[in-house]
Amino acid sequence: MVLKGKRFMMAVAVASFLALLFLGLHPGAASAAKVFRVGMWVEPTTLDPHAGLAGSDHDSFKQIFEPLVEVDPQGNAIPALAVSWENPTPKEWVFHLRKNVLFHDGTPFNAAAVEFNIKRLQDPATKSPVADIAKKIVGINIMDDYTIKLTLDAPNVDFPIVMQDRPGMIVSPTAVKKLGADFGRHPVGTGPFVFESWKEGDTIKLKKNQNYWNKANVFLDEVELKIIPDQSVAVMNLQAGNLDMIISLSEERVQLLEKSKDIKIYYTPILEFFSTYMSNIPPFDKKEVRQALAYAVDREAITKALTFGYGRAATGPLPDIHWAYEGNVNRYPHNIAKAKELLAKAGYPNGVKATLTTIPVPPHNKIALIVKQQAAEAGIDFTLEMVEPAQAIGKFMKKETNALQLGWSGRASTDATFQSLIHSAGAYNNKTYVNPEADKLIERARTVSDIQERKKAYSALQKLVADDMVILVEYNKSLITAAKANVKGVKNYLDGKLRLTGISAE
Amino acid sequence: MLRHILARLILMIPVIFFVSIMVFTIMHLIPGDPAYVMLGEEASQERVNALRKELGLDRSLPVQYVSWLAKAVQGDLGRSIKSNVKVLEAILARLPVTGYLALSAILFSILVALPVGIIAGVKPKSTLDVLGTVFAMGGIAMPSFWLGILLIFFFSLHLGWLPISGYVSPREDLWESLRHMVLPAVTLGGSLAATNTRFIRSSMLEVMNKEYITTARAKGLREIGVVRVHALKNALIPVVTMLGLQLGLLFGGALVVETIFAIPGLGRLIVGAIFARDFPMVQGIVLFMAVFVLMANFLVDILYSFLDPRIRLSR
Repeated sequence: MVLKGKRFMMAVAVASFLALLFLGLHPGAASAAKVFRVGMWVEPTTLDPHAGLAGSDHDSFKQIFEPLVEVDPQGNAIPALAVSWENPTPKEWVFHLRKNVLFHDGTPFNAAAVEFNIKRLQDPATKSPVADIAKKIVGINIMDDYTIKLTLDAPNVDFPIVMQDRPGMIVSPTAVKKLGADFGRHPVGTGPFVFESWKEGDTIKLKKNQNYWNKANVFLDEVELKIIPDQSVAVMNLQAGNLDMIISLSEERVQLLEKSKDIKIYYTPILEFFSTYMSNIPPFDKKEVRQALAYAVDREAITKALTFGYGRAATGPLPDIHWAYEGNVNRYPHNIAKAKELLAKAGYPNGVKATLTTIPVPPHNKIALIVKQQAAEAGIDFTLEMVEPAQAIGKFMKKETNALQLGWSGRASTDATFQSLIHSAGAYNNKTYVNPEADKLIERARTVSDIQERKKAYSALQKLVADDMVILVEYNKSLITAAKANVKGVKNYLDGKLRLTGISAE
Repeated sequence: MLRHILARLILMIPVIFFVSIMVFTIMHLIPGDPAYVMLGEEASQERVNALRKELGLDRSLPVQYVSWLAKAVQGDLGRSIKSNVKVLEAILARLPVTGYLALSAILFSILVALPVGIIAGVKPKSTLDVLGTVFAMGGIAMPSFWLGILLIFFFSLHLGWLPISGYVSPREDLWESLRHMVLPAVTLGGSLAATNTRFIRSSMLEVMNKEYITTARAKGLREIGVVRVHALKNALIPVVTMLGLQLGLLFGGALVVETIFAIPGLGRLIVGAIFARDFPMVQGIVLFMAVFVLMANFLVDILYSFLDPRIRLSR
């Protein structure tokens, strides 16, 4: 058949158009029975909670596994696989385990299983990143099938909270023995959802655990965790109804959803925060200079500019929903005149020069630029340098820079945060701040078990930290979750991790 | 002929060797230690050192390189630092997906470039040629991530004709598989189509000006016959070579397209590996792709010499 030039072109064009139309009009595969689809943008490295290294792994494995102790949205410890616990002597903890709980493969959950788990974490062959936390348990004593005593190498009031994270995740001993290294791709736990399949780079499928001890609180029959790396595409999928929920949305993307009537947005500050750490070498060795910076930096403005309304300016290291939060501290409202006055008092009437180190990752680099600009107005002239995270921390620890614009990923254990950052012996302090008063308060808070006494100690500590202006915390990171309007029971947790119990979709 | 083939194959070896040195060096020059990336910034120095030792990162660079290369030539590309899976296994699992995407993109680019390029070449400066040029320039200038999102927004969200993202294996559901591949193929093939249109056009233009075309016309052959019988075949031979070269480019574009459309292919695998400083994975993928592209170009060259009688007969 001979088609002359133009007609040939037309034929091709028409054929292509028809093909596209045909493809589009063909009815898509009928949707399966009630599947709840969650959009995540990072794939887990493994579903073995003892071996994985990425924080994003938790969003997946927390649906399959449970810890001994859980936390509520304010960060308080609540029962999970352990129904209660005691602290008979400072170093000893007795956990009373939940009865009649089965792993997904039918293995009974008991004290022997807990012992197996702790030993697995401590075993060098497992190569667990939390092995040294597990090694703080120096004695395991099975008192009966549902009672286990753990002895620590040192007292730690926050130990139950430690058992809420990776070290407390309980895996099935039978499955581990059977699957070995393959366990990470075929996980078996006691959690609300049973693992079904994992298509690499694509989807993880889960189904409801019909034998779950808290079954009444699980309303989803089937779950698909879909990996969609591009947030704009994930947002479009949510709008089109291909997803029911998206987790860890960025502030810029969530604005696209504000006008959508059938999508609800949930946001909470979490434990992670962004801050300017100051080293105790001149000029920031003088309290007045640190305070001057705090007055110069407008935290409200920074938060507003960088979080588009989805964040709250911080007053200290703890977010305002935290159980130990103390809001009655010096907040250093933006005041350039006051900043200049303090600088003069410290002996720098003509301003001062300093270095500010940060990493080329948003929002740290953006905050650093604003801080530099605002500090300059008060006379603090920062030279900005951008390096890799490991280098940045190294420079600060070696006191090769005056200030570090970075942050803190947050710890479930309040003690861990203050110990690392504020205590004179803290790993991340490196003697940049030495205050015996602060040390005393931190030590007191971790040795008394009465929660009101702990709150008092942390309250005094936060006032002290604010007065001394050791860390200038700009704002806490916000966890933003978006879900269709028919999804109920969505709660954001302080640790920023996903938990699907309690969530339902009509 | 056989000598020619053998010579070509032997010449590939230094190229692959050079690529292996390049990728190894670049990965190790980028700041960022995989042990730190894996353990997080808050890890103690002792733990970082212990992990580095385990991963063999405490050895000198030349030692690490030789050790890696020695295993690689035996087919052992090592294990991923991040997830401990075998690199070669991971590559082979994802290769068909990226291959499917690449072939679809090439198919799309041919479907567009062939008619438009031919017409533009046969009738230069006509309206069709001008339109074709504008479209070609636009296609080359438009970044693929922008084009991709635009297409999704229009065809998926607005019109609802095609799915937004995702991948369905053709073995699972052929229909859905094709539907899911349309927009990614158009996005990836878009700039390719534009380039090929220009190329076919100029190839045609050149051929149409040759003496044997004038002869054919003088003999009384109708224009369409001239184009089909004499011009087309000669013009298309260099295009075949171009396609072979474009295979390498396609892989680069596939990275972006796979990320946007959530397609679990090699592109996504390497992006994740780079961020995690997963040396074995990145090195393995780059080396594999280098060999793959070299082989593809080699085969295309053989094909070319068969297609072009001038080359075939001169041996």
